[in-house]
Order: sequence, then C-alpha cells, then structure tokens
Amino acid sequence: MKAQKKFLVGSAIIVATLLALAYVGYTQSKTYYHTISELATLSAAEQHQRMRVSGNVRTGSILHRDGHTDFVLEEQGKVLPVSYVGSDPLPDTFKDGAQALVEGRLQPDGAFTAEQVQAKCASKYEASPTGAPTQPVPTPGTSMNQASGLSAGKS
Amino acid sequence: MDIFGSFALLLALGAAVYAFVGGIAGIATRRPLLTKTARNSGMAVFGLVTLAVATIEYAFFTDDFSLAYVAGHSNRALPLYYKFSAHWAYAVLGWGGYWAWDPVENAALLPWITGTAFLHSVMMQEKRGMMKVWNVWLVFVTFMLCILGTSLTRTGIVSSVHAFAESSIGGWFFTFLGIILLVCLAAWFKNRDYLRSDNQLDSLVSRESSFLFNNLILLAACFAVLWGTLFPVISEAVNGSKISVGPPFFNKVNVPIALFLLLLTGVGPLLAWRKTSYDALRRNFAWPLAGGAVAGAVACALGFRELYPLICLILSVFVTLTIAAEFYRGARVIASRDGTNILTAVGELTMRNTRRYGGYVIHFGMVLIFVGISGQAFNRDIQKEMNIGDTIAIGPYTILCQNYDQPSTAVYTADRAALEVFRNGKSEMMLYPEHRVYLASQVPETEVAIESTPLRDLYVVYAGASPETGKPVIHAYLNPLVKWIWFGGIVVVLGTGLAMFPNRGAALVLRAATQGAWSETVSAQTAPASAPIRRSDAND
Repeated sequence: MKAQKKFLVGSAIIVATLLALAYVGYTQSKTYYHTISELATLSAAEQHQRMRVSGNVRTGSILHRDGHTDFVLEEQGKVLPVSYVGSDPLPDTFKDGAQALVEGRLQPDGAFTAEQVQAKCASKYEASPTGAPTQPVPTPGTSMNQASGLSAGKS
Repeated sequence: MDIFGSFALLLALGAAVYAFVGGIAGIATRRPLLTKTARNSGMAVFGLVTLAVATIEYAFFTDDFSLAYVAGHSNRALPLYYKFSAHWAYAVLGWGGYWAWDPVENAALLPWITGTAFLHSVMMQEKRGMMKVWNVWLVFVTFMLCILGTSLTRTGIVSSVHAFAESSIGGWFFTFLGIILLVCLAAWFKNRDYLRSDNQLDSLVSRESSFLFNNLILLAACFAVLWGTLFPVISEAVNGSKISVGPPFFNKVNVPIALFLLLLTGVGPLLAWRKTSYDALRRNFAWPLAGGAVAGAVACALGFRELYPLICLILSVFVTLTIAAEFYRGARVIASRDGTNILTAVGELTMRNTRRYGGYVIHFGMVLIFVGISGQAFNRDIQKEMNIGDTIAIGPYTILCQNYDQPSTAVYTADRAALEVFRNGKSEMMLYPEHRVYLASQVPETEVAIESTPLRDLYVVYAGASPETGKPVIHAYLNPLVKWIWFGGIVVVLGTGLAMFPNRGAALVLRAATQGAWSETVSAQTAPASAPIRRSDAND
C-alpha cells in the first residue's frame, strides 16, 4: 500500500505544478476574438486585451516596409488599419482579397498592431450557400478546368 | 494507374467492413477463424491504403495532370525525400517554423500521445498483469481521438488556417463518436471480469513506477493540448466570448512535461521490475549522471545558460549514456561468451531482442529530436530591404545582395534575389530565395533558400518588394540545430522498423520426456518436454 500512496502523492505534486504552469500560460496568451464592427463597442478595459480580428485584405493596401508590413482589413463596411511587426514571414496565402486573421493589440489611435497573421488556405471545401453538395467554383483558368482540358487529350 | 489506386481503396473499404463485422461476429460466436481473418483483414486495409497512396505519389512523381488532384496540388513543390509534414511546412511554406500548436496540428498529436502511453503501459500488462482496464480504455481513447481530430479539421468548430468554416458534417462526426463510445463502454462492461489486475505496485523505485509516471505525464500533456485546442468552444459555451490560447500556453505546460519524459526515458529501462536494489541503482546511474553533470557544467562555462535548453542538454547526455551502457553491457556478455568482437556482439544482441533494443534506438532518436527543438531558444532573425551591394549580418554569416531578377516562366511570374553568403570573411555559397505567383490559379509561393548544416540552418526568404523603391525585402533566419530534428525523426523510424522485426536466435530445446505427458502423476513442477520459445527474457 505504501508504494501506491507514494505514487499518488508524487502524481498530485506533478499535476499541481502543471496546473499552475497552465494557469500562467493561459493568462499570458489568452486572446479574445472580435469582429471589426465590435471593436468600436469595446469598453476601455477590453480595448487593452490581446485579441484576434478577422477580415478581408483590401486590394492594393499591402505595403512591405523595413521591419513591418502595413495593410488594411475590411469587413461589413468597416475598416481596420493593421501593422504586422512579427518575425515570421507572411503566409503565401496572404494577398489582396484574402481572408486574414490578425492577432495582437489595438492601439489608442485605432490602428492594430499584429504579432501574428494567418491567412486562410484556398478552401475547396466550403459549403455551398444553398446547402447543396460542394462543387469548386468554376472560373476560367482554374486547376479543375486545366485538368479536364488535359484529360480530353489523354487516353 | 489511378484506376489501380481507386480499386485498392474500394477493396480497402470492403476489407474494413469485414474486419469490423467479422471481428464482432467472431467474438460473439467464439469462432477463432472469424477473429483471425478479421484481424488479417484489418492489416490488409493498411496495406491497400498504402498502395492507393503509392499510386497517387506515382502520379505526382510523373506529373500526371489528368488527375485533378495532381493538377490542383502540383503548384507546391512536394519534397520527394522527406514525408514528414513538419519538414514540409518548414522547407516549403517558408513560414520559418515547423510547429505552431495549430488546432489541426494538435489534433494529429493527441492520438500519438495516448498511443505512446499505451505502448509503454501495455508492457506492464504483459509482464505483471497490471493496468488491464487502463490499457483497454487507453486504446479506446486513442481511436476516439483520431476521429475527434478528423472532426476538428473538417467541421470548423475551431478556427485554424486549415479548418474550413461552416460544414454540416459535424453532426455526423459527433454521432459517430457517440456510437463508438457506446460500443467501447459495452465491450468493457462485458469483459470487466477478465480485466482484474494480477499484481500491485511494489515500490516507487521500479520499472512499473516509471511506466506509471510516463503514462501520467503523457496523459497530462494530452489533456492540456486538448483543453487548449478546444478552449474557444468551451469559453463560448460558458460565457459567450471566444477566447483562444496560443503557443505560450502550450509551451509552458508541454516543455516541462517533455523534459520529465526525457528523464524517465533514461531512468525507466535501468530500473528493475518490482523493486530495484540500491546497489543496482548506484551501478547503473553513476556514470550517466556524471556525464550529464559534466556536459551541463561545460555548457554553463561556455555561456549557454538558458534554463530549459541546459536541462535538456544534461538529460540528453544522461539518456544517451544510459542507452549506450545498455548496449555495451549486453554486448560484452555475448562477446566474451562467443569470442566475437563487441560490434558483432551488439548486432547479435539487438537481433535477439529487437523490441527492446529497437526501442532504445527509438529513444535515442527522440533525444536527437529534443536537442534539435531546444535549439529554438537561440533562434535569430533579421529583415531588411536590400539594394545591390547591401549586406546583412546574422550570426557568423554576412549576406551580400549580388543581384535581383525576374526568372519568370510560362507557368509563373517570379522575383528572385541572388545572395552571396560569407562566413568569417570567406565566400561560402550562393542562395536564391524566390517568390513566385502561379498564373493559372494566382497562387503565390515562396521558394525558401535554406543552407542546412548540423550546427544551424540559414533560412532566407524573399519577403516581398518594398513599395517605395521596388527593392527586395530579405528576411534571414538563423535556426540552430534544426537538422537534428529531421535526422532524429529518421532514427525513430529506423528504430521502429527494427523493433517490429522478429527476433532471431530463439532456442528450441527438445528433451526426451521422463514421464508420460498426460499421466495423472505429473506434478506442477515437472518441466515440459520442450522448453518454450522465449521471446524476451525476465530482465526486459
């Protein structure tokens, strides 16, 4: 019985330590999700939160500079100027019109300083608005058309 | 070729259905033929799916664009030699890292964690008849986590770069999970009488204890990652706001867990079953501990004082020495007995007990991976706009921009920089980071330029063109020890192959029986007519 008791005590110590670490990690990284429209309605305390905001990249707004990249996100008619200061390179899917998710903090002047930027992978799996089985949107020059064009020539 | 792959998948579906139905029927009707063939059918599923994957890989290899899937995905330069997706993310995506604690990455990690826990705790069941109920549930949970992981990716309940939004498939997945849970509960309940433990934990200084701690912290890691991944869903249900947690949370919890796991990797194999004597402890741990301490002292003296990498180094040296000692101890016995040299003896030793020594090779591979990951603490990067003739200094390297051009082809437009890399004043190589946009799909792609050495990776990205001057913006990274991760991964795979190999040199000893085998006077102590084939010895 003694060995089992010792094991339980050891386990309790380990679990307690991990819980403490988890709590510290949580407070350091917890990030609230807001839409651009919600940003205007945030209370003063909420404005200092670390947050994630999603939107579409306005065409022509991406500016690469020394040490940071500036662009503008828009959604439902609202805009948010963003400055990305992180060290990771921007994802390949980040371009004009892409759906992007930025993570960072809101500045007092209303601009957003982003430490992380995610851009959606080109999705072939989105549900069709009518709920019908998904078909990739046929536009000229897409890969699906290329494939069918090539297979017509193959046996 | 693709017809072959589709047919293989169809066969795999049939085999899977049979494996499920036949297995259950076999258990219910107690017909071994059914359960045996069902089990083989399960393995056939694996083989057939591998065949199907091979045919599509062949299609990629030969650029068979008649397959829409190949056409749609050939924009990405799939590296043909490494299949690990972390390496793909690192080398192809140009994102600079190999793990981001993204929900989809976590989903893949979770069943691996519980599967690893099972791999170790099942040895307790094998040797000591303990942990039977635990193991049964661990396997059930591993399977359920696989399904949960797939659902995380496909239902979009957690936002991620890879989770695509809004799909009605969520209902199907969770119903399926519910059914699986019910089946598991029924299976356990029906068989609970066969799952009683034969033994108990005798001492904390035993192999059982190290397996118990192994399971405890692996499951703690699993729980932490699962909780962190599902936190937005939970917080939204609880108080309406979507709160997510990021790498600081996952790293804070998992790094100490990983280090403790590393410690157990060295300690566990050296502990005996039931209870280890003090003499054995002293004999087994003295040199490895000393080695670890020396390595730590040297690192401190050289100025590497980051806490976690330092602990990782000490433990890595410790574990490597314990593994080496294990091989040496066994090989020495064989060498002296058979008169061979130590190297041959190591080979003979390994083939006699492939599971044990293959396992040690896997552990060594994990040590290499941990060392590679610990290099992250010393990562550096610098981003600068570069004109022809400008230089960037990073670590021991100086990068000089020689030229930039647009090597566009019919398929894509490209911007490329020609960079010359100097180390300690000497010109070492040219790097050509590139940024392409494929015309047909308007998909951009970064071609990262990596110079990879065992000590560090120099990782250079063409970040874009400066809006005012049109000059290239170059982002250079110095990532120490990354190559150790990929190499360690290969060692783990090789070790796994080794461990799955059947043992060689099993001795079948035949001895004439001294009494009739079925005589009533046969006592329990009578040795059988033939010694059983021993797959592993009592010291495993």
